[in-house]
Amino acid sequence: MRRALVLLVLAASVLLVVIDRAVTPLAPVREAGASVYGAVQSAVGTAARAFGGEERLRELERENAALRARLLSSGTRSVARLGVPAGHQGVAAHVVGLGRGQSVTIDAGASSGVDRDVTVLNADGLVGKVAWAGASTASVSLITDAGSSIGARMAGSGELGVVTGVPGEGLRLSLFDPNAPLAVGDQVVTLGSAGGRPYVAGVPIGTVAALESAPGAATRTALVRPAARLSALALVAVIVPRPER
Amino acid sequence: MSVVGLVLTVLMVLVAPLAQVLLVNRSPWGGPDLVVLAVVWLALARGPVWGCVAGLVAGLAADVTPPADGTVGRTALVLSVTGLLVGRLRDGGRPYEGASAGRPLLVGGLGAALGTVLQVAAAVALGDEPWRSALAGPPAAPSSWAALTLAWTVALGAVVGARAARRRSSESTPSPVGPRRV
Repeated sequence: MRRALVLLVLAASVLLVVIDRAVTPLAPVREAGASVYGAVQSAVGTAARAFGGEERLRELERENAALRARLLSSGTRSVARLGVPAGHQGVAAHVVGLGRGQSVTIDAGASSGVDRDVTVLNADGLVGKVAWAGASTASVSLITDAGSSIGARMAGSGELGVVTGVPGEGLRLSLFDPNAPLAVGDQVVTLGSAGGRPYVAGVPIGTVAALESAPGAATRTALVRPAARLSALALVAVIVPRPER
Repeated sequence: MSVVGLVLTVLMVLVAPLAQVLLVNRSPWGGPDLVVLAVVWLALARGPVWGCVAGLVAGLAADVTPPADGTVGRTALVLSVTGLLVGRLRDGGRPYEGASAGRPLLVGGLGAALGTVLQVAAAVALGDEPWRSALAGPPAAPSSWAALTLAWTVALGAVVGARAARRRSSESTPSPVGPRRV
């Protein structure tokens, strides 16, 4: 009897893994977990912020997100022209939970229009992209995640390259032109994807911290320090497609 | 086993992943893996079958707590095996009365280490993340996050083992005598 129970438990867990990997992703299970645990995380986050004028703060945050989106779309920054595709808007969200890898939970989800593969940024620069959106919370994979790779442009010279995440270290920039001018302190901004997903154009990614010289390499590489302080994230803005009315 | 005890058990298993995401992962000094500790505690206090079931439930909860985005059932599999092994190790020797006091400490620490290491191994083996990112930890964590987590979890696992042993030896109801067939 007990042996049967143990075998049943082990078989159930193996079956879960096999189904999720090989048959069909267990999205309903994930959504159930996200709605229950996500709701608690949001509630705890709200309670933790509820010291002081929460309502006024909310209002300001909404305004802040809207203004940031408008600023991004107007191209008034000194860096390359910032472009949010027409028909996108900013949604304010808070980071309410930290995962064990390079991912965080935010308290805005599909009900606010957040979808997967949209840009997440804060006042300093790019934070990441939405990896998975639940009903009222979403998981954001940070730019330092191992699977992250962002089309990039040097703010000064306009040289193109790719920024990839190096977990535990930060970011690595690879410029396509091996002879491109590159110096410590140079700013890197996003190149932008088609339709602004996952990344809109012109958001600061970070600054070059150290050059890496590999003789004979086909690309120029450097370590980049992220512009956004990823270890102390609080308020972020998500650039979401505007819902059709 | 009282109703209150059962409710507390279920609560502990379900709240552990939440506390991990809300509190422990924010710590700049690393921290223990609460889910592993909860499973080890139950396995030591109630035996291999309980440990195995608790591992399945707690692991599945950890797998679906946002922002986790690995394979569903990965942690459940690892922790049910861990709970089963810890429970078997507990029952493997003589009963605690008169046995060496170091054994529960050792089993608790060993189980905690097993659960922590197996989770990273499973994440890498299933291709959810490369090993470097599996060792790097949350964004706020120092670069030695994996080692810190292991140290925290093993230390607290030993404490949990000692506590569970004391609790069992002080329980008035003797455990059912008979060959354990698990």
